[in-house]
Amino acid sequence: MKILEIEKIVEENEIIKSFYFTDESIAKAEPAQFVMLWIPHVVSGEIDFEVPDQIPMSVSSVERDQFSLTVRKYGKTTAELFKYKKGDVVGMTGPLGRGFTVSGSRVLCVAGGIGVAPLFLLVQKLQGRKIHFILGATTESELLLQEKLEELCTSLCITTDDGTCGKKGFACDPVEDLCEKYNIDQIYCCGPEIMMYKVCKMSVRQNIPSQFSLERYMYCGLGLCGHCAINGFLVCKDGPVFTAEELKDIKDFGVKKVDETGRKVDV
Amino acid sequence: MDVSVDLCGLNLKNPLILASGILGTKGAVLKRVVENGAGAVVTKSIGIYPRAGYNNPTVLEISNEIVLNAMGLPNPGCDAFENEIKVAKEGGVPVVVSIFGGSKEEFAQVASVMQKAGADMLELNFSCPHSPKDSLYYHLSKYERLYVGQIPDMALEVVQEVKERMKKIPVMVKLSPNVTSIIEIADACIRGGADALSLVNTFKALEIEPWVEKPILGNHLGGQSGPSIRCIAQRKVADILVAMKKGDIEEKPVVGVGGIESGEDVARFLLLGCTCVQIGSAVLNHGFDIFKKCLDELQSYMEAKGYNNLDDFRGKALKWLVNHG
Repeated sequence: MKILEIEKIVEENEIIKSFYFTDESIAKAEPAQFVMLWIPHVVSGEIDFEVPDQIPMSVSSVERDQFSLTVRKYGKTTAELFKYKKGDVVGMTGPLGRGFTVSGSRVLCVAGGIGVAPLFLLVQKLQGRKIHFILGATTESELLLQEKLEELCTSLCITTDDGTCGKKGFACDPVEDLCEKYNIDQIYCCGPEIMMYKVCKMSVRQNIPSQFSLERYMYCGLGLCGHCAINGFLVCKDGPVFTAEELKDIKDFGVKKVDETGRKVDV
Repeated sequence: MDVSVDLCGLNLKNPLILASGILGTKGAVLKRVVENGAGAVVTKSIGIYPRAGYNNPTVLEISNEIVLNAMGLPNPGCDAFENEIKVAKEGGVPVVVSIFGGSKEEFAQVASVMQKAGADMLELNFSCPHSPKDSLYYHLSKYERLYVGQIPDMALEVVQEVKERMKKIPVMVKLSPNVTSIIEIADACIRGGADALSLVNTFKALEIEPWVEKPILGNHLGGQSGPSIRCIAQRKVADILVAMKKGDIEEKPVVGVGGIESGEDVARFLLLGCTCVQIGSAVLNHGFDIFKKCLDELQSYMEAKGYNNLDDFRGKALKWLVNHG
């Protein structure tokens, strides 16, 4: 584990912050590769066995040796991180897992919620190609990185569940039309699993290669404990990115996940 | 060349067994381990109720040689695990189910559910705290708490209770090295009826982050595995095998565990007299390929030495220790 200092914090909106660090090897992360981020609870100064100190987090941008993690305030662990200031330190292991493979010349990125973070890094790597981006969020105030994406992408389509911005509905809704309109030859997707499941079905139907970044409850993150397994594949090691071709054999995709005990529960 | 092994009546196509706690929560993953060459697999430790693990970090790779973990026995509970055993068995090799309990009754209950679900063998995980309220040790703090495997009388009673219910399948006990005399514990387990012993479990360990100034593991305290413990494990295994050879304790099959990551490492434990070995932490650096790698290397070793089967060299190195003076 490396100990890294927070060099900069950007408040993307009320509930999302980007934290910037410098590390040569993590800055080489492929999009959707992740780090195990250790938030050691020294800020609150209490021993609290109720709150996990470490969570997986995908890299959202890189520039030379600097990289960022874009974090949504969600549970107790991320709430702890939100108390951290410039100059505080955290621990990191990574980059881990298999990221997105860059391919295609007319690509469509489909992002739901904080799923935009790894896709934002992908967009940086895809520069020079036609990039069409669907950015979905529950409501306007949760839309993330909108201005930067407008700059970097050929087109940007916004959806919100409540219709407060862009089209009312989910990020998967415009996929079929946009694939046809822009003659898409590669789809990248990250967001809620039900949304990814729908995009996967569409991409198979239309015979367009596609890649998805999955999420499962993770303990070790290193391919050792096996807890994050989905039908024989380890999300932390074989994934988190899987192709639609691979997902054909992964019966639990879009259906079942495991909780922290290992019991199967609905996605 | 024949590398097959008989372990308590189970036929293993080779002596390489996946150790408990590694990749062992899903039947489909265990099947994949088998496809990659394992002769048998041990599941993650299963208890009576679903149980969440400790907070992350639960596993740390301190260096190439040192792995620390404090998983906290996450498991879906024995009832939910039945189906995973069925899937794992499709792999076609023996499936050993590791079990734990807070009392001998719990151990016995989990054992009988796992036997019904098709387990080929049980491995009792004695590196779990013994927690009944009437226990002599109940007042101890979490930091000082003892394992079942650290209290000989308790170990004997648990094995006895489990063996009473297990008429059909063999019972192996995984020993903790964190004891004053591992021979004493081994003896207690064998007197209780254990059919085999596996050792060692992890060594109690701890890591401090100097800049953050606190323990790194979510549970603060953990256990060490990886190549760094191999020589210590070999000594513990030798202690038991020498005691068996000398007749101090009854002879039972011994399964060597601790830091194995090559065919030569496998040979080392077999040369001491182990029936077979378990491989765990090496999955971290080698992934699923570790079993094929160790098997290929073991066969190259045997070929170079002119051995046709494992009995040709099993226990050959023990004489140096039995006659140590």
